[in-house]
Amino acid sequence: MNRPVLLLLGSALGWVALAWSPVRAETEVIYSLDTTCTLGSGQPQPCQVEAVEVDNTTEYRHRLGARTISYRILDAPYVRIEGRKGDGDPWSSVRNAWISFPTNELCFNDRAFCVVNPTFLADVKADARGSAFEQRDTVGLAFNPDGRVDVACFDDGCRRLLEAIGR
Amino acid sequence: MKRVLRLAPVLGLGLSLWLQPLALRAAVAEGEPVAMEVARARGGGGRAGGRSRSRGSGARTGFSSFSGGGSRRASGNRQFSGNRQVDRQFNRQTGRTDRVDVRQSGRTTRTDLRQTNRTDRVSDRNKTRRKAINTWDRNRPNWVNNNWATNRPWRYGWYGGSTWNNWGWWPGRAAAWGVGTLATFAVIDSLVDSAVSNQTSYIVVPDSDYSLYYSSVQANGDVVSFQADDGSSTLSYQADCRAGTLNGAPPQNADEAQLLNAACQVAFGQ
Repeated sequence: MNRPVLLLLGSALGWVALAWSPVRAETEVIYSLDTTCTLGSGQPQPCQVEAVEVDNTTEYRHRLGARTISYRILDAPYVRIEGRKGDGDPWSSVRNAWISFPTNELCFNDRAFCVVNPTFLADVKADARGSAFEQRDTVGLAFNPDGRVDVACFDDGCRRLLEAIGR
Repeated sequence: MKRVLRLAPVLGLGLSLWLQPLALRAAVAEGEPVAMEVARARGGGGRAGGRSRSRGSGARTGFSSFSGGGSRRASGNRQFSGNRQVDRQFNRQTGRTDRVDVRQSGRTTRTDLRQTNRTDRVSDRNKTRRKAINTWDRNRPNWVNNNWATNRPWRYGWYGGSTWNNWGWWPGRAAAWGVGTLATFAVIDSLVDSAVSNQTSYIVVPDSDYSLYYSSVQANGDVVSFQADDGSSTLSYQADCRAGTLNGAPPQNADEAQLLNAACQVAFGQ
């Protein structure tokens, strides 16, 4: 067997091994975090957060015991946030997303799910342009059924928004 | 043996490629302390999506796009391709602006002319505006005839500046209309006294186009019904002096607010 054939065989073996590997090439773990998650009005419980880059989205996987609740952020063609209750479930747009800087909390769908994720909040500020998030306690996004942002609110604006819609 | 030696580096490459992601997953699955939350894996090599690196962990948050100036990530790709493009855009824009200016100038002249004609016609109409009709000789209640303020046959005296200052709509709308205050009881009292002595059934409401037939005022609780002339016809109104509504709604302009107040002063002022 001559050298080119051997090289071809070897690289082919390498690619096959790569394809079989448990982590696919287009995903990358950005960070992981031991923290607490809250479901509805329940008590905070330990959970592990994994922020994973999947294609052109960032997926936040929250492992609570045997259960994994995930949210993913898509920023093209416009900002969307989708969630799913389990690994096999379909993704659906969240109705709203809130962050509370004093408590380092990120909540979805009227606090149906909250997670303490200081890294997420630090990213929000780090990625921001301008000073819109400086000295803010609360920032909220409300999405229409198509998943597009209808309202972005800050602090007292969020309180007035909730009043206006009667919540 | 030679063949095996040749194959070894190649196999080694494949094996290392296979093992690297496994090691990464193991590190994550074991759970690092909170302080070590940002994964080491980002230190080497580019991202799968080829995104630009930000100051944070690099994870998308969605929120950052609503920080007023767009996220750092989003603006990274927008650049001018060169000065020529800028020049062409500038020249095109300048030509457009000139043409728009010319068109706008013609429009403004025509609009001014139309508006002048309108203003002239409105001025003429205002000169021919009819006055309220004096109905002194018709149905006049007794309380009007002599010392009207003390002969009002209902509970009065509670209405005044502190009342209308409590109307919910007052601060916002008054500011919007540029109205600082409404007529005091002293002003309305003087106008009614003067009208009575002149045997006139209406007063011209201060700072308004309305004339109030003060003798038509009838109170029921906090609500007063009355008639007023708006310059073209006589209309019946109902005002809730406590709530500050005219015909069930807050006044829509300063004229209506003055009319509401005048009627309430006649009915309940002191």
